[in-house]
Amino acid sequence: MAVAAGLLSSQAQSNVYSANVVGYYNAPLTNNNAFTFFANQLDLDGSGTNNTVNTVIGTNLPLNSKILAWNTGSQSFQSITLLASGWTSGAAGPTVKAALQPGGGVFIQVPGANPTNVTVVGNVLQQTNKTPVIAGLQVVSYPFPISGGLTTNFNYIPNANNGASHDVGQTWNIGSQSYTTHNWLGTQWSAGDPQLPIGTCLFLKPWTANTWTNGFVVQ
Amino acid sequence: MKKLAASILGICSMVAYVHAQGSFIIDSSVNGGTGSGPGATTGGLVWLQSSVGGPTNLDTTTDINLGVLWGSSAATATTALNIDPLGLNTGAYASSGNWIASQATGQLDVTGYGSGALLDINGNQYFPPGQAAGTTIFLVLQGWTGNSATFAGATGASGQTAPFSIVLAANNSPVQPDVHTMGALVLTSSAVPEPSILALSGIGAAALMLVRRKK
Repeated sequence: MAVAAGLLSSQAQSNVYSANVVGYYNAPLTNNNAFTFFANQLDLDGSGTNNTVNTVIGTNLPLNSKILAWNTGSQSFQSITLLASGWTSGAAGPTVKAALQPGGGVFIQVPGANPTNVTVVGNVLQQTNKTPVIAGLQVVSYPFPISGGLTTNFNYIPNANNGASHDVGQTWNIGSQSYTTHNWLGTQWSAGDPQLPIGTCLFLKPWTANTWTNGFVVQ
Repeated sequence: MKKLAASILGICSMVAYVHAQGSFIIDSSVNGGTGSGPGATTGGLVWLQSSVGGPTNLDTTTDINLGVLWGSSAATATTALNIDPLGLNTGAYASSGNWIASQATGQLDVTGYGSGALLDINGNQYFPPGQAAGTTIFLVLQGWTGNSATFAGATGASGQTAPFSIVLAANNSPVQPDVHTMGALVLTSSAVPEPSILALSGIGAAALMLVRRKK
């Protein structure tokens, strides 16, 4: 997976500098109706809220491709399907849109024999987040186009273990089409710190509510 | 003691996690283009039959109303499953628990793929009550046309599949069982005599009785 970023513009006013960074990355998607965990880590307009399925994914995937977004309320997936007329919406539309903002993630299912990819283009957000994570399953990603480990690099500090209660992460193995489960053992993750390549996400299941502080600023 | 209680609680929560509620989806897109016919016992599509014994045509243009029955065996697949868990149906359909072609639940359920396969416009997962992931259950799909909220009240074309089995998946698995193992869902219009034919028959019978009396 490649990421490219360019400094589009910079403005100097007195000693205050601001820089807009735009870039793109290619997210490979597996084929034959198998699933890929995908995260959008670039933003349409700097707000972090206005990305849509058409601005992030587009309609160049094979017909009958599906996007599955996790609904934390119902604790189940809701999906939309690419038809000749475009992506369906229905009740799943808002859930998918929310999951396509930086910090979220979705599964993408692509039919047909040809692997494909999505080229994501947009602004790199530059901000500090204090993201609330709920007790229970949710799909999360690092909201900036950087690869690394959830705790080591992205500063997710798991909840302290409480007896048998502990935080759990689930990363997706494309080859086996199954999850790798990472249990927080108090000082380290079983199966290693969950690794998040650019454009991917994971299931996080804190045993109690937590806050994930992360940020990114171009120096 | 506190530690023991916490451990027991933890074990219970782990057991609950392992035995996650099982779910499935209603989609049969992989059956489109397979060429399965109206007699298919698996890989089935939706068909419309204008009358009993009449021609049967693949349904690509008419959305249908849909209900789902389930059970732990083929013989007991008789319990209605609520496939409107979000409560999207309104008015007379509000509590039907079915997909209705004219409502937000059944729109595009056939015309979406346009191949005779079923599409869930709302992309939900469905949870047969009390059934854990890994459990085999049996489903019967009931389809009908017209304005009835229920299969039992259908006055248009109607029909149902034979029971077929699926194995439920964990709710957070993207790999959900779908309904592609269904047999053909053939909706048949029951042949109702035209009113004019009934009227003519009545006149004929009356005339016959009149002739007999005169004799």
